[in-house]
Amino acid sequence: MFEIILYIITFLISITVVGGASSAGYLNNGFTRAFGGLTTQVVSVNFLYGYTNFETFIRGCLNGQVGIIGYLFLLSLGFLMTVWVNNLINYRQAIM
Amino acid sequence: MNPIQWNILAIVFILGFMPFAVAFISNAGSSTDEAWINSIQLHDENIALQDNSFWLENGGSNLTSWYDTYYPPSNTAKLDCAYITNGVCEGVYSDTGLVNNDPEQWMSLSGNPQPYPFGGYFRSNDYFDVRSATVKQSHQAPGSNNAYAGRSGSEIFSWQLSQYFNNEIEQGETLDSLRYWMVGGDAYNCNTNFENNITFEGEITFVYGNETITYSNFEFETSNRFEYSQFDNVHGTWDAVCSVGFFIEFDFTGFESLEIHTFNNIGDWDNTSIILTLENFVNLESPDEFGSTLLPFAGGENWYLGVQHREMNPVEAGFLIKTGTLILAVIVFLVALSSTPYFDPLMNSFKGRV
Repeated sequence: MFEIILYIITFLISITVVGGASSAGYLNNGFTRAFGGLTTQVVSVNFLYGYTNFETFIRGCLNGQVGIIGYLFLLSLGFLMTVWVNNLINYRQAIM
Repeated sequence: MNPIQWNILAIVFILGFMPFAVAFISNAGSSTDEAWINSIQLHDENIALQDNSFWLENGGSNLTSWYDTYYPPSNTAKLDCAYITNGVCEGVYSDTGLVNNDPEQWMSLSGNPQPYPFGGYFRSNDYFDVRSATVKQSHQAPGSNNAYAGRSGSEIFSWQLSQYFNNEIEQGETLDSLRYWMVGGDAYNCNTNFENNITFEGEITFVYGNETITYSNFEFETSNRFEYSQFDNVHGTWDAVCSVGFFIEFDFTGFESLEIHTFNNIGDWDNTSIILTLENFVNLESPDEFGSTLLPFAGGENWYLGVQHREMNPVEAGFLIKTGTLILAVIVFLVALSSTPYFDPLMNSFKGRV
């Protein structure tokens, strides 16, 4: 479950990066966009998973180690991701 | 700001702000300034360990294949428990060779050596400045002449450590971190060249009643050379001596500490035992071949296991972690809200009413 959350977050980041680069005139063909997006996602996942304890924290919240407040944090994070996905689909930018 | 700048801000929030905030919250309540406390109670006399402390694994089955090649059993010397799996001696040599899966036969081999704790005892150790237990090696007479082998097992070493290894942890407190000192029983002149840099992984399991809780993926990198001072009775001086050894540290996040506290019934350390597992050893100088690398718990005779801990106040840590998480949840919620196109009209409606 917590892996899915990490992958969704980093997927959003890679879409944002690719979209931004594309708007700025870079990554003009499908291959470079796919390569850029994949690279961004791999780097982001490795950073969050290997160099921070973001994953441990999410796992702790999911397992109830932080109590009801942990679930509250996960709800907020879920809300944030939903909003950003919606914004990226409809407006091509995460924050309006 | 244009859309790209907004997107950059979103990425900075996820990859910059969130990891720092989470790191701060996770470590709330833990302190690196706290002193290390000996976890084993001091006894004036040796106390034989006849409790539930024992070897669970002693290097993996590759130990046997290595001994097969380099220290084949002779008619006059028996290899002791070549490998232990899940607490049972499965690798037993008789005069005719390896006898697998026959713990009864192993027990009949004059019982020598017994897996820890037989013959082990607590004492205030003068080998180094950490209170420790003397632990019997599980395969102390490999091949012939009781030679120190101390090599070849690189897969998995594991021990069940009874509550006697924790009974200086105050009842009602929780752990911030645990430190295990492992030092071989043989001292060497420090000019002896046996040092290697090794990496391995660790796992720790707390056992309370019939329940267990495990923390894994601890990674260690250390030298296997341990230097300390020993008093020379003849000359009345302190001399530097060296042994095969190292210490390892299990540092728990704040919410892991709270979880341990809840798990063992609000810090009932008198009834909590620990399973310590170290595995996947790699010699950094020869990553493909571990065979001749020395480990403190894979040698002859005895080794010394010292335990220290740092305590954490669970009430204070709980308050900091839960408050920090609540603040972070509110911040994330506000960022989500402000990311919607409806945020400005919403703010304006508030302004209109105030």
